[in-house]
Amino acid sequence: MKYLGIVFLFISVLGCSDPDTMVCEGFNQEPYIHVTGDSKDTFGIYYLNAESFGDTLFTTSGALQLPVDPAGETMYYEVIADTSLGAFDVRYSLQPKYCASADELVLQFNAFQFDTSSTFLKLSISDGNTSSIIDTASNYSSFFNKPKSNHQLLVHF
Amino acid sequence: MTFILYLRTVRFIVSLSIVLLALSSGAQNSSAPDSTAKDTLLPYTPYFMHQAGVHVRSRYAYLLEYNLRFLPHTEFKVSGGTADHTHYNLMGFSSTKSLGRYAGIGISLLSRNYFKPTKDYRFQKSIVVGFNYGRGNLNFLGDHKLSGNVFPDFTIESTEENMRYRYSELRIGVELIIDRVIHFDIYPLQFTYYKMLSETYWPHQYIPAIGVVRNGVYNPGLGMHIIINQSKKRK
Repeated sequence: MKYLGIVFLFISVLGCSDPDTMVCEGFNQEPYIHVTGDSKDTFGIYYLNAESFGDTLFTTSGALQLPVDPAGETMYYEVIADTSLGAFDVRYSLQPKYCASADELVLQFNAFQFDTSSTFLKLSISDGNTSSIIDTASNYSSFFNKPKSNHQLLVHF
Repeated sequence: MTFILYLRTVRFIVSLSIVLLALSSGAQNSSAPDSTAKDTLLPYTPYFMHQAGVHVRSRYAYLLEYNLRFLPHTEFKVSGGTADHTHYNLMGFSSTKSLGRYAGIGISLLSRNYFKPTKDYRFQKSIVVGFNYGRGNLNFLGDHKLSGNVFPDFTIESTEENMRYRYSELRIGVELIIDRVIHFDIYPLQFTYYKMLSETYWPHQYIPAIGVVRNGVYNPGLGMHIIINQSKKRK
């Protein structure tokens, strides 16, 4: 029994030696984008996927999480206050990736681009320190794969 | 005296396994490039695996096994078969089902010697410390579910076939033989080392036991192995 006790103790020690380190990029649930408006007035964003499934999310705090259809490749978003303030499309592709240390699967954006024809809203991204105007030719997958609250899409209206 | 020598042997093997596990723990704790903060409640991930259960052997194989115990308290095993493995993580996030074939060889030290058993051996029990080594092929079928918020849950299916692997098992448990026909190996304590020899998209686990698994290749667990020998013909 003494040796069994030693073995179980050893197993417990092994369990405590796990690395707890970096954050794995990606989403372990439905992907989303942090969106912040430059006004604290109430506004909403209507989202619509390629299957014509959509709804409107409203915020009174100036920020919300914009859903992205994990089964799709395009999303339509329209910013709404008293009236429509403008709309934009995003084209994206998602790929699964396994995070070995967390024993979980995550979805990562392989591509994430804003549609040139519909981006008549002034959009920019901010990492909490710097912000830059959206370039519709750029791939923002690496930016939006970091689902941190300070990684935001800024909507100016 | 023999029993004391046997206990010393068991103690040596257990100590050796602890040393080997200690030496290996550094390797399995090396950081993965995409490592992430743990979101599980325990350092172990519970899983369930059942090893389809009954082996029926011919009388010849039965006699061969017992007569191969030419060293007291020792037996050699050759095994093979199929395995069915289902893996769940703690958050109910994913499940992976594995079906495979394996073949291996092993040696066990037993506290009782059944060499040339007589008709009196109706029920035998023995402590077993055994080591098995095997190789095989596995087919994996996995479902990985991501919970939806405004959209439905999203499921990713993955299939990988004929993935080669090898495994080693250190088992400590009890052997029960009833009427020289029904043979139970029950392993309350089992350490498994496995390695996928084929490159796989998913980091599959193959652990022939019931228990918990870490992200490394050494895993403790529980196991039970049932063998039914062909009944001896009555004269």
